[in-house]
Amino acid sequence: MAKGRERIERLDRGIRARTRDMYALMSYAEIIYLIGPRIIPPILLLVFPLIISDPYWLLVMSYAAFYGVASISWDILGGFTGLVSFGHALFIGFGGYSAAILNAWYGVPIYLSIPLGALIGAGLGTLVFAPCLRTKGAYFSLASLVAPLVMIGVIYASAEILGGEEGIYGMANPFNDVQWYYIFTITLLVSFLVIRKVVYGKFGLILQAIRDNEPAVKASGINVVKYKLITLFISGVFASFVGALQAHRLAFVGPTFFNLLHSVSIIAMSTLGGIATIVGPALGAYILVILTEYLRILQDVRMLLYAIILIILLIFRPEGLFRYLERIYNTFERKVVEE
Amino acid sequence: MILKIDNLHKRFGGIKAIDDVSFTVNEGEIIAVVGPNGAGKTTLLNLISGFIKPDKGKILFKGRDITGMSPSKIAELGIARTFQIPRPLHKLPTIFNIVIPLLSPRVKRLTGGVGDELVRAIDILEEVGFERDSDYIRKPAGLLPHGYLKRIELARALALRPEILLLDELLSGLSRPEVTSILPLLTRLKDRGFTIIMVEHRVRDVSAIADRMIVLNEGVKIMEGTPEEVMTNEKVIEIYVGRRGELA
Ligand SMILES: Nc1ncnc2c1ncn2[C@@H]1O[C@H](COP(=O)(O)OP(=O)(O)OP(=O)(O)O)[C@@H](O)[C@H]1O
Ligand SMILES: [Mg+2]
Repeated sequence: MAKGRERIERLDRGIRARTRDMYALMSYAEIIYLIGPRIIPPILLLVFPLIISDPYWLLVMSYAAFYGVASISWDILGGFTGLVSFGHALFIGFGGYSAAILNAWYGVPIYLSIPLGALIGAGLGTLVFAPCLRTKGAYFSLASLVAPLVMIGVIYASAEILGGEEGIYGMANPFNDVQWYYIFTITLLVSFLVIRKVVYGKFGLILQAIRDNEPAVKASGINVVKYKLITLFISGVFASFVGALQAHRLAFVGPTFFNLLHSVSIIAMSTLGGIATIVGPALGAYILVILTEYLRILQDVRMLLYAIILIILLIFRPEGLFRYLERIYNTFERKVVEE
Repeated sequence: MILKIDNLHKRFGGIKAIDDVSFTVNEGEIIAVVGPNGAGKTTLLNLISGFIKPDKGKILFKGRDITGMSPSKIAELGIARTFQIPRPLHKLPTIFNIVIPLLSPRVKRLTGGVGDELVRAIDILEEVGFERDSDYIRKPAGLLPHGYLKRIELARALALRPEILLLDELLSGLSRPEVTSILPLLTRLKDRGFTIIMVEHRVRDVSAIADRMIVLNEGVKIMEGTPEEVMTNEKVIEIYVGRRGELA
């Protein structure tokens, strides 16, 4: 064999050149290159409790998964449909309260109170957000911001019915820390797969079209309001689901579930990870939750911290971390011998 | 008679954008609506397509009152429109601009949901003048030049398989060769049974293909007639000469 000149090429180039849609893989390097980023993070998440059994970190990581689900569900609305909600906590709260009332008051068992709580919470949230759909752009964001705050007011005002400031106690909590860790983490992985399926199919294409140009979609004979309502509901099911999980985990639900801090955190996480990427918001959730744990002093100024992160990102990396990492990853090189 | 416009009124603040306009459209006709800037032409199409609601008056499509219905409902019934200022889905590839109407309930109903949307979208794009294997088909629509954005507008409307096409200044901003390639396409569409209402600024271009013309000025219907009648009408000449002499 004639000795060829050595040349550097991007690792993904050979794969792209050889095949259009089907992967004809040539080397282990390529196989690892392709599936590595897809399977290593979930595997790490699944073995985490085997490596670190400190209940404190299990709790932190469960919390990150909780925000991960909330953020990727937000991304369907804010990222893909252009409905930038500043009130996503509404779904968390409705999900939590629905599950709590079903379980603590009506004795509905936990394996039903959580899924039913998710559905009822999503339904209630969609009903409340529906009138906000009349407004567009920043006005929708403002209207959605107010909705959970109004709910907090409603709960305070109706102490006898909804438990007021004290909230509702006594929901079933039959699981230990490791079990809760797996419940939250598997919920995140499943949510990720389902939401990806939704947004990268025909339905998601219509959502992106609505984000791009609403009148064009109306002129295409598609009922935009109907799609927005369905999207609110789908997004709400996931956020309400983790709200319901959290209510059982804490055996408590209170007005804090509707807290503005949740809504703002979700937006900060999504922006950090990268809006309209689905995986990005989950990444952002892990980063911000772990970061605020490390920087305990910052706990009380979290809002300010998030605001600063948002501003810095919007100026320097508006695409978010995920797209940035993806680009770096795609430039991995290898030596090829030209013959 | 496929469409009947009955005493339509629309005000914006103090401006009477459409002032008591009535006319009828027969199946398979090309009707040209002409008039100077601000005459109310776009407002008329917005009213018919449901994007704005009239203050007074009625719009009947095949005898059915569609006044005040939503834009998507009117499109669903079979009236498709284009926008004067193109409204592409700018971040999505051109082909998806055409896939969207193909996913509408109307097209699903008419085709029984069979066939690949991407294949059909390429056929439609080709029909309006895209090269089959052009880069433009896969590029984000926002990157395309103006002439192609106009073609996307037409393709999106055609994809709905409508009965009536409302075209808002499809020819404006197009080069001479582009205009001479689109005019025969419109005649072909008419021959295939589409009813076309086209709003145009330049009377000359449309007079060649229109069956009838309606002249609007300051919201009022000045006259209606064959292209010859309109082009030789004293009042019409006066409006255009008075403005800019665009008739010539
Ligand atoms: N949404 C609106 N709000 C307020 N005024 C409007 C609105 N739309 C149109 N108008 C006014 O109504 C009148 C008719 O406008 P229209 O756009 O229908 O005219 P046109 O015939 O399409 O003009 P052009 O040839 O410039 O497209 C104009 O005076 C315009 O300023
Ligand atoms: Mg106009």
